[in-house]
Amino acid sequence: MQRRRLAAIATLPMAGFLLLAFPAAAAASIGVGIQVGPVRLAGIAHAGQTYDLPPVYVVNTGTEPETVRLEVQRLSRGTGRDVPKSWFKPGQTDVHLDPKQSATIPAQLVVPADATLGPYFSDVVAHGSASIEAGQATLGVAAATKLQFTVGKAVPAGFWSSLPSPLVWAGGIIVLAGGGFWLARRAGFRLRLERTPGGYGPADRGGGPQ
Amino acid sequence: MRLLRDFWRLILIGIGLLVLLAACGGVKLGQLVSETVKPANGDSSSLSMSLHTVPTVRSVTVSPKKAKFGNCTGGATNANTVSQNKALGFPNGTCWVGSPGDNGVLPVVVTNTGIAANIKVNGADAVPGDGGTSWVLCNTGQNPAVACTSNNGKSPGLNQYLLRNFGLDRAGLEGPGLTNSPTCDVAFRGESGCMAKSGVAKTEGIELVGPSASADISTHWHITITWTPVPD
Repeated sequence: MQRRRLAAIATLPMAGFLLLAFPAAAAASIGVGIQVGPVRLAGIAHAGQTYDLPPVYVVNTGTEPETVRLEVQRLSRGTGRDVPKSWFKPGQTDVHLDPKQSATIPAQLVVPADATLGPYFSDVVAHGSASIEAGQATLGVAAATKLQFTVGKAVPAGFWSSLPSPLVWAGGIIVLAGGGFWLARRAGFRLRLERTPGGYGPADRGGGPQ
Repeated sequence: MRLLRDFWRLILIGIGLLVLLAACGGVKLGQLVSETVKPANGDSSSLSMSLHTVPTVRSVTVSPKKAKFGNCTGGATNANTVSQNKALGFPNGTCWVGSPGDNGVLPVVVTNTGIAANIKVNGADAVPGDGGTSWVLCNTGQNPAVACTSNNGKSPGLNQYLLRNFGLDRAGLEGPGLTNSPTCDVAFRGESGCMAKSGVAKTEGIELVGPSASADISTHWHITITWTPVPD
């Protein structure tokens, strides 16, 4: 009888210790966050080019460590063509985040040569790999932010640099004018410039005041 | 002759202008300007200030209290494939995480921990432990994403299964079921879709209806349900 009492007394503080020592297990949660601001390309994208997108901010809002990966999926409302998944290339495929830790993941936009011109719209979705087993079901989390850009007409590479500078233009015009003048003289054309003595208008014709 | 002289004068003036332009181009005018506006040492003064802003993160947190598929019912007694308490039976056995109703249990807690967002939820194919043939999600009702093929579209057919999450008042149990793409979470459904303000939390349960038959003989299946906050 006394032994049972002793065992009961010893069990109570042990249970209390276990509850205090492992509170996280009781309140374990999984969570992921992503920046609210849309991921936008600063200028117009051109077919066949690769662009650096602004890095994407992600955060682990849960109590468990997790691995975050980014992908493109159309979830929110907006106008424009769907962004093909293969166009979006995250700099890191899997980013490990401890609880409450955040990171910025670099990403690139790879526009293929045969891309259709026009506006594009989709979402960048951050998937948290941490999961909680609920029986046979796994509960997961993700978070989305908008991805927007426009594919415009491509300008041939080196188009502007191939044009002569203004200095060359001016020199060329002077040389051409000189050549033209010389040829005209050789052909016998003469340009005669005459200066007539200046007067004071009709009032001057009749002489002084009458 | 005089005209020719005048012309050559013009040419020389033009060349002179070109040389002048070229000389100006060589001087870094921007540099000169920036150097002149630079304040002298000791003239500058600054005021350090800090500013706090509201969080600009869209996030969600999920925490089951005690969550397990259980209360499995249905299946064929004659074929010895009737459901056991924690094991799904065939055909079309049903298992629950939590239970609906007035005295129901809603063990999954979904919290919008970021700014206001639409809380969406999606399922995925059920993957057998042996890596064989998966079960695909199917839906009931008028416009199913993938129609269930058994019992006139009311029950999953071969290698299909139906997944529904539900909230208070059995919300969601009459719905078409989850799809592979995120759709509005019925537990968050309100006047403006499934928009939830920051800090709003909902408790939920899950119903699973199994296939009429399974091509894979695995007894362990992996099922994933994902919650996603989505911009409006």
